[in-house]
Amino acid sequence: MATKIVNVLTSLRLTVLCLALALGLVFIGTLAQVKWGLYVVQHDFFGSFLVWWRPEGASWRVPVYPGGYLIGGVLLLNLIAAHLKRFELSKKKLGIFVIHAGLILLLVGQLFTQLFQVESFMAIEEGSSRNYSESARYAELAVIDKTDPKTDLVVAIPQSVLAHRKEISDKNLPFRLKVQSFYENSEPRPAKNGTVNFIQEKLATAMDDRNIPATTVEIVTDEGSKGVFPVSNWITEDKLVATVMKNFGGQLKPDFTEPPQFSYKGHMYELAMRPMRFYKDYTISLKNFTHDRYAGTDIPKNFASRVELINPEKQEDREVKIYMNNPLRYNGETYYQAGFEPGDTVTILQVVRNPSWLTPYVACTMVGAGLLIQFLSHLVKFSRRRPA
Amino acid sequence: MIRFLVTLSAITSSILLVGCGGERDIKTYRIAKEETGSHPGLAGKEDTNAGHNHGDEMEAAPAPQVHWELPAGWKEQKPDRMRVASFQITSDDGRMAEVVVIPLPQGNDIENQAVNFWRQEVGLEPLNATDLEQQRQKVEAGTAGSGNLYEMSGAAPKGSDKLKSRVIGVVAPHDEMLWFIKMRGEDSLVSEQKPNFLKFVKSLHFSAPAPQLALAEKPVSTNSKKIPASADLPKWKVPQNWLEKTPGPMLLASYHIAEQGAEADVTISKFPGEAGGQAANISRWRNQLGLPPAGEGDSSASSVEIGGKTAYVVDIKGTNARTGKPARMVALGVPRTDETWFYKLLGDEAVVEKEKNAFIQFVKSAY
Repeated sequence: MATKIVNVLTSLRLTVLCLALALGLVFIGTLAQVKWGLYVVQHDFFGSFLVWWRPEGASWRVPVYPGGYLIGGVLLLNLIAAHLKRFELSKKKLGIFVIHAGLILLLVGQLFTQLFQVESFMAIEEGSSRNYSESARYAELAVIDKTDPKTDLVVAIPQSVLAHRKEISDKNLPFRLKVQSFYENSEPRPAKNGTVNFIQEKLATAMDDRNIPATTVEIVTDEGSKGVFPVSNWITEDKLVATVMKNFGGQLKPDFTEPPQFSYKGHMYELAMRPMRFYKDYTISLKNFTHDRYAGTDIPKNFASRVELINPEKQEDREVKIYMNNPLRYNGETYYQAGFEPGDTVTILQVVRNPSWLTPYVACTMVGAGLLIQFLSHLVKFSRRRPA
Repeated sequence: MIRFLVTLSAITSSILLVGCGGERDIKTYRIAKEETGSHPGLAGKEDTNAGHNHGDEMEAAPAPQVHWELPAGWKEQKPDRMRVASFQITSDDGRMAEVVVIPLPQGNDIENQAVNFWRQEVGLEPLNATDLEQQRQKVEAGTAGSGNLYEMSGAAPKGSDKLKSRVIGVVAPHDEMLWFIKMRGEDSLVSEQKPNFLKFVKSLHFSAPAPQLALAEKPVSTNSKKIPASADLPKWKVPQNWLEKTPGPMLLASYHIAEQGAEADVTISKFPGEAGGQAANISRWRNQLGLPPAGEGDSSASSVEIGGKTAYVVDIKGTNARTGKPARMVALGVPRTDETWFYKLLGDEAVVEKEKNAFIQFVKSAY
């Protein structure tokens, strides 16, 4: 039995099957993006073990294709198993060994990238500074203890927690949050009392669209309820506030964006739903943003951000120019020139933290070196065999 | 063989174990006080010539639209979204109050609405315009001259144990803006701070026009080959009750109007040249309402001057071919240099009748 399992796991047929399934997955995944958009397909097709199909309106679903994790996982298992079974430390097989090790590293690196890579954005206006970047896709509910006159204590609850838990408690919060509703995407509507209510909206799938989440939470203390608060990015992000103002301005009270506040046991708390933040130990200031166009056209020629990087801990204060194909790599993060706001005074930097960013380079070098070793050893052997 | 399987499972499970630790959890951190969720680009740049009297303001602070003399014990907060100034007052025994300054464009009844909102915040019923007039007192409001003072207190609102139970507010008109200056907080503290508040209002110097909230323009990716088409759209003055929608295929912009169960849509598109000509376009619109094509001497079309050029307008009633419901349509063909822009208001008659003038003004606002 064990021999049978090993034979299946180490067989070349399994490799070919996995590669064929991977080709099919890429094909159907690409087609599916037309309807569901990039991010949904990435998650449902490539970042899952099975691709499910659910008939419209049905509560059940059936698996219809192996997902990226399953195909990649089996392929990885297949490679490791073949490697272990056939491993032989000899000059003759050195090339093959290095090629396979490179492929394994490539697959493991990709898995790590999928699991650990964090992408966020930092928008900075000329003359201003930022010490945090924000997620473009995920939000958090910040419960901010504002009692201290100099600092705020922030408990940041990611939207994935709001979506899956009915009640949230944390050791840093002296109360519980009952999640009455959570909408991954919402639209604002003016309420009778001049505030804004949020209604559920279909998930956004287009690449240039985004979901604006909203949640309603009740603050429950030992002394009873502190109130029920609807919160959303609609009333915290300036551009969304501008949209709400534009559409419902006359029906809202002047301070409708004021975050909900309550006090408990001598502490003052504030709630804010906002893009998920990633704080840094350093600050980046935008000195200048340039957006050159080809003469007489609106076609961009060059984008560049001249920034000042200040890290008090390392006593570092230097200027860096970030432009296309010349990102800033600092403290395990890479800052790419990703966009700008109309008006050319606000730059948008994409911030990527990928602990395994080097693995594709190392893996490709290993595969290349392995191929070279293998071909050269055959060539040398062949040339030696040739009669003089 | 068993050793082989054990080694294999050990390697794969260690990879998976390492890989399963990245779930996003609740995070706690302490940071220096800052504004919440403010985004660069909205509040404007710092006016270095203003010589404002802010305290330890950071370089990144937005431009002051108003100057003031800070009363003792008031702690300045960072301006936040709609607030151009914000202050916190904390007494020695922990009572708290807050003062905010918010400018808004002057509008119909906005002052009375705002004051009624303040009343609701302290648990009081809204009042009608006559009663509100009796409540107000004139006070000095810096360079605005004078403003209307309102004071109210009531039961603490839900969600608060002792704060937000008294509001003192001043509404002062200046240029084309209404400035709302409000102190809200614990009853006794707000009463104690009233002289300081009045002194603060008197010291206000409105030095620049109020900030105009930017339209929600999307950022542009540096990967794009061209500036997006939407960046070239005219700057229409959109009525407040129109809700912007994502435009469908071939459309440049789209708005939805809903009023008391009735609704209508505004759509905008453009085509090169005359796009088939006036008669063909009017026939097309008529067809959409189940009407026969426009004949000779058809009186449903008229003309209107828009941006120095003559545009054609139709105002027709019929049955919407898509929904099967009675509908009315007001549509314009606006010729430009080498293209024609089409504006269409289509929906329930009551809404179209009410919005027709606003719709024509909307079209005119682009040229």
